[in-house]
Amino acid sequence: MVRSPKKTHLPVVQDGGNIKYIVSAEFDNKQGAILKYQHPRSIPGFKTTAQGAYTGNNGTTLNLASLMIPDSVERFPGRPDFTIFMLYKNEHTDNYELFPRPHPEEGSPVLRKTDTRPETLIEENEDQEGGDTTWGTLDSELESDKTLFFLNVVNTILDESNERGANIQAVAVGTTMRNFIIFKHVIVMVLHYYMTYPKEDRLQLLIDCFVMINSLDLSLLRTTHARSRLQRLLRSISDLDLLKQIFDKSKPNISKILKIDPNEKVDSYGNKLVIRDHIILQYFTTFHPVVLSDFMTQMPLRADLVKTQPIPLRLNYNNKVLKFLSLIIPELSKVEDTAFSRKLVINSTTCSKDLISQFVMSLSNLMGGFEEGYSALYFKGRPVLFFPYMDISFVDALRAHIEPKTDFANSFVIIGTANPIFKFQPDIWDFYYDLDEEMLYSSDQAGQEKSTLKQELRNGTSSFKKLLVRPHNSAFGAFLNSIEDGMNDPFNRNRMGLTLKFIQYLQKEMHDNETVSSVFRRICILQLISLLNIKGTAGYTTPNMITNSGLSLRDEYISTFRDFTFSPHYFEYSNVQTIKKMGLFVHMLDNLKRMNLATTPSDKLYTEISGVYDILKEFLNSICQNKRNLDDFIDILLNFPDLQLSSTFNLKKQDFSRLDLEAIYRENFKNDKSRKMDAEESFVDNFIIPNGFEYIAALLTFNLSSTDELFSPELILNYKAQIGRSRSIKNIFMLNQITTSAGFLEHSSQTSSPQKWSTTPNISSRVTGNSIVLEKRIQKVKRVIVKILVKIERHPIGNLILDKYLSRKLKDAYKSTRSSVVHSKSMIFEKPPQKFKTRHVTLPSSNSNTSLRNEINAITEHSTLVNGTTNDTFDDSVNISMETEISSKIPTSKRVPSEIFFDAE
Amino acid sequence: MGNSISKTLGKLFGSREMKILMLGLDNAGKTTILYKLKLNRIKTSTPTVGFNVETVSYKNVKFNMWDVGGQERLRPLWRHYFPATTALIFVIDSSDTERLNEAKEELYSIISEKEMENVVLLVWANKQDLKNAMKPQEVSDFLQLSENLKNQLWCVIGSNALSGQGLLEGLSWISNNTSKK
Repeated sequence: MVRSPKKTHLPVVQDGGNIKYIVSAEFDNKQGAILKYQHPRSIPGFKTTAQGAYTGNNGTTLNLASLMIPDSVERFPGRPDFTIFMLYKNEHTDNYELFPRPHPEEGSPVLRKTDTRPETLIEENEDQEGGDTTWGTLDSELESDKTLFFLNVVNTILDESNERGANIQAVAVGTTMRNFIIFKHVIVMVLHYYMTYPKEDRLQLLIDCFVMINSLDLSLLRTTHARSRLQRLLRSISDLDLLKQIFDKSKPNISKILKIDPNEKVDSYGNKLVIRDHIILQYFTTFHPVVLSDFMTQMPLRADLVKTQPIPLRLNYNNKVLKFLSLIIPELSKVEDTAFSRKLVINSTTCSKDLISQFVMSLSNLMGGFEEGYSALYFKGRPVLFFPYMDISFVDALRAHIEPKTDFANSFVIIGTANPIFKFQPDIWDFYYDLDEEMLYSSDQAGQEKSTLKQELRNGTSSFKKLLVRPHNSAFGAFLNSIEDGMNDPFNRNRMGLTLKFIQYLQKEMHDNETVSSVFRRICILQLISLLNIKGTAGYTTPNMITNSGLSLRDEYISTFRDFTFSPHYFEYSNVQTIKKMGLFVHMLDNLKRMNLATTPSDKLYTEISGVYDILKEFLNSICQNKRNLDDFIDILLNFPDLQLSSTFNLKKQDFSRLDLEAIYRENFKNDKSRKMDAEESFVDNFIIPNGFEYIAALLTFNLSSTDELFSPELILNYKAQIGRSRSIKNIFMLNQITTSAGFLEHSSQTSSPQKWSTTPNISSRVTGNSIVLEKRIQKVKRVIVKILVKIERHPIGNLILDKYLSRKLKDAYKSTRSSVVHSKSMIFEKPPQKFKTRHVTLPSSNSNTSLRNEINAITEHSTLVNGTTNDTFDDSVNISMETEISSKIPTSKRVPSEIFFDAE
Repeated sequence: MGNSISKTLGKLFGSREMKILMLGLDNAGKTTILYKLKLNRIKTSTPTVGFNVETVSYKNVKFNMWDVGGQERLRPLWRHYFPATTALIFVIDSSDTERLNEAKEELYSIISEKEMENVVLLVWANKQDLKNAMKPQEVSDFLQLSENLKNQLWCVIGSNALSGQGLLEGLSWISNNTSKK
């Protein structure tokens, strides 16, 4: 059944069916696992032969069916299990392969200026039709046929008529959709029928299933999921009530997001469709099966319009994933910089293959997910290879793929298996994680132990014992490690970093995946701020860090913090700038708050406020430029953490193992008027409260009489009293370290007064104690804030976000100021005048951290330059003349009702 | 740590641990033997997809027994299980005379591998309860081990996985002939 969709207003992902292939396999009593049927045709590269499907790769023979009939599946008859695997398209041959080809951008600068936006400021209307691309459909989460995701279900049914007593069969669907997990319940049912129907009906059954799934128009779901920036925003909203409001059909937000009438009853093919909150239910109304049971058509396909993870999964990160992170992170920190690529085998003989596969995919999510159909780029722009499930038959091909001199020799590789024999292949792993015992084994990093092992494996029997020597999960093991390495460790490699510390809290408080991801995003921003705040190359006081000077910011981040997890989009050029400016902004707020207004000279105050003003102007300019910037800005505000941790501690060196952050926060917030910890919420829940909007709007209530009410939590935590008394030998040892190492417990140098925004003009000659000028500047700050908030408010979900995350006081201040600002003459410009073009600079892309810092400095310098050449565009007299000049260029008809966002100033 | 202590105690009190690899054509009875030894009962028969691994203790020896599926497509994978093997157990369906030559070829293919040249070889001539089963001596003669394995310890023992006949004798033989290793 081939149909073309009716003409529709639904946005459509330009792609074929929902699933591309349906494949079945079975265990043949004589041969082993074989492919049985492929529909609608053989997967290119896996043509079915009389014996099954094979493909040659590096001279090795690979059997796709062995991924569908996994090891030991016969042990649990009647219990369906699942595997996930990917096939990668070879663009030279158009065949699919089990191993990806090198990423087209491998080795290219990762931190590149992706910004290809026009330099002119173009006001975009969020309500405008056809704005799909502005939601990020061209971004990394777009479906691509470069990667086919296969979700496979397998089962064993005891059958006395079978000479070996059981039938073992599997059905898999291959799709470009990353949300393949939604087909899980469908294929379970299909496999059930497949195993019980007469043999002659089985192919037709698969065809029915293929047609049934493709009879739905999933373009709404697929397009919504492909909007990477929208999904990032929705993912950043951890408040379920807010999400519910966004998808409330009685409010206009949902229409703006989905660009359809949310009360739509049918899809473009005429199938019943229901949207309930952010869940979409699609029924197989128009499908009429040939042999498949009608019962199948009664169950709708259920999916979440919010893609909570890059690859949506049904696995709780808590326990197993966090436990794994707590073991691997300390080991990664010991790896030499030059060899920061690890091969990791994750094995379990007791867990389901479903869990193993999802476990590996969850690590992919934590490492940034898939990009453009390829595994995520990681250290030095190299992709990470994920194999959710692999059996021993692939080990030779894997070895050939990652051996020295191949493109993937220095890549991170993560492999899920259900066969402990992988432990006996020490040349393909650096870490072997036993998921059943939760034990991490490390091969010797220097290679000596590994070569000894290889030798022993060749010579005799004792090597297996050797392999078991170095589990890394006991306290005693950690103690031994610290004795071995700790004392002479100038890089503080045995420290507990911030991520590891928070993993403890996440485990203790048993949080959901959204909270876990939310915490990791905030830590990423905090650590990024910590990394960026180094002032020039001279800031590197640790000699060995000099070796990193050629690294990109992302590489330096990965190599410095070694958290395993990170959020790649924060390393995009424009986001780095926004985060950097937000950091400065918060420090400036802190400076203002600390000022005694009665005694502070006006010029100092003016300088400080002007600095704030300049940053706010930069934000406004940026978010007026296009929707992408606005989305990114809101995302950063949703995830922007309080900066106490990065201000108080040197996050690159601090050992958090003995610090009770929860107690420290509670103690400090007792005396902080700006911020109170919600006693009913856990420490982690308090940590992820979005305060970014409060920061941005803080000065709306600012006046020259007092700064007491200014929202700006104390930046420096008083924590020394909170250092716990050590009970363990390890901690006693650590105490000794503290006395001998300057790296521990040191205050960050960045806690001193923040860098001043250099665009601030020297006004000391003009301000001589006259508060009128000062007052005027404050009013301008408030006007810019309002404009920013108006811009946010006009975002499809902005009004709800502001309503949720702005305090009542700031909301009131905003409302009272809004109308006067919005209707002011200075906001009537749709496009900037020609002369403003010079303010937007296209900076060269850079892959080195040093260059990045130079570029950030260049932005500052450029601003100064602009100020110089334009005779200070922020000067009030210039503003007036410009307003007049620009006003005259705008047709009268457009002046009044126009969408406004460019500020003439 | 606990692992090391038990190993040290094991050395003091004479217990040993060894990896045993059990191979053979499909339907030879490998899994039935494994679970008869491990659980002393007959586990429901299903073909082995991949492998089974169990630890069987006998006379102060811990046998880590790896039973690998014998289907055609699984046989090329046997070599991945060779590392660190102390003894090879090759199981033959003594009643399946049609495939005896196939079994012989597979056996020689294994023991000709360099990694396996130092292992001791036990052949279980299984399914002795079936009336058309070849006797252990006949199996031994057919395999021509005495002519071809001059430098390797080997033994052919008749077995019946259902009753357990010959199984402990086999383990005992392995234990006695690997004591110096």
